[in-house]
Amino acid sequence: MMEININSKIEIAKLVTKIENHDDDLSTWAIKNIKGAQIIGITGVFGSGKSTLISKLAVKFLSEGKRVAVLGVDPSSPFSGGAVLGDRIRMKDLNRYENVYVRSLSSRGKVGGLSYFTADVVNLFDALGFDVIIIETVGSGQDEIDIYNIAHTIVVIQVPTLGDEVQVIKAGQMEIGDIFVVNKADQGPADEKIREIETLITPRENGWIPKIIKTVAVRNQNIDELKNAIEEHYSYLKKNNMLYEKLILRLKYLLKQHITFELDNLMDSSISSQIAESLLKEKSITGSVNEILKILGEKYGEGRNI
Amino acid sequence: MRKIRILIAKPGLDGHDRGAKVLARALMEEGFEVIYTGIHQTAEDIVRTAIEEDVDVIGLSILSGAHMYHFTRVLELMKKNGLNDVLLIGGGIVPNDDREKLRDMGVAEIFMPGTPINEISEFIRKNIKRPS
Repeated sequence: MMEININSKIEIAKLVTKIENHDDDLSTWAIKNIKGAQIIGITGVFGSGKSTLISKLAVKFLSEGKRVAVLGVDPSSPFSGGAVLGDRIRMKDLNRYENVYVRSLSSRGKVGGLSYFTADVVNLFDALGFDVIIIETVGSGQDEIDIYNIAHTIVVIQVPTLGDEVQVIKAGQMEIGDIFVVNKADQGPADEKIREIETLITPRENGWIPKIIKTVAVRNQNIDELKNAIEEHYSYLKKNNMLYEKLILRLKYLLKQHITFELDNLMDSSISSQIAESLLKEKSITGSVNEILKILGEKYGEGRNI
Repeated sequence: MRKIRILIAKPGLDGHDRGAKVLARALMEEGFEVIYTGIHQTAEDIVRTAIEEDVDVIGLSILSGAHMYHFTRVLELMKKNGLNDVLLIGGGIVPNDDREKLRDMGVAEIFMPGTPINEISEFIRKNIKRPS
């Protein structure tokens, strides 16, 4: 379909923009040209040090001669639809390297930690020949688990002092981590945090026992250890023929996102009630909600279409 | 509709970033996607970020007095990299004589302290060089 110069950041950037704006042909091309990049997801609450850690981690891969793509997702405004994308502030070091491409994405109205087309952008990077793709999720919190569907290895970042041991046994992020990082380890009872995680964390569905690593990202402490743990997990997936399962998961997730995107758009349009009726036709909720909306419309709307 | 992407950056040894942050936030509220890079950026950093983020607008905030140097350098690198369709604007304390010179050089506009936000966002919507 096309000739792309992978060394041209301008070309890559324009392609990402196209995908972000729902270019179906390009998404299809990307899927057909997936080469098998290593995909790493970094998640954790805002301020836990995701961006800094990614910057240090990316340098390790770059020094091995690998091509690295970094995707940072930040939240969009529910009111204006705009966004402030600030992940790059902590990634300035990467400007010294040629073989890395960094891109900030707005979540564009989607919850779950990624945007609708993040999987498509990842496929694009993969197809373009990047060896390693690192994704930073929005960082809002515990139910941010979309990344599980895209990344081979999930790194969940925790910091000392936040939350007690009950946080560790909750559903959500604690269930998807392959590696737990206790970052900012110099700023509180890090060992206590590690013990909490150690005591309560269970093996993952595929048998992998999560690793726990203590880091101080700003001082580059234990980043090698983190990198090794990521490699070890990736080898584990490879050795047990689990990489293809991850790819299946990613493609199914991608399809679901495309459907949700279309559906969300339709629900915002004037035919939303028809969509609801056709999807929920047997369900009593449709009728009652529509009835109430009608009453409210008559009472308060004065002819306005609610 | 396509989202307009704006890079807000502070070049050089100028740490006064309150204005840049307020503007980043205000432009977000206007519906733009704002990439904020923080302080102490070189012209090379700024242009590289603009390329990677595929922005429509580069906005430089300068209060240090070094505006002639930084704008010249950024314009040079923009030209070198073929960023002809990217709008360059600025904000900060810039004397009138220099503002005129900068406009002649290719800076679309310099906004002075006290400019209402909607003036800036209107300017951006009207003057971006790519189809929106």
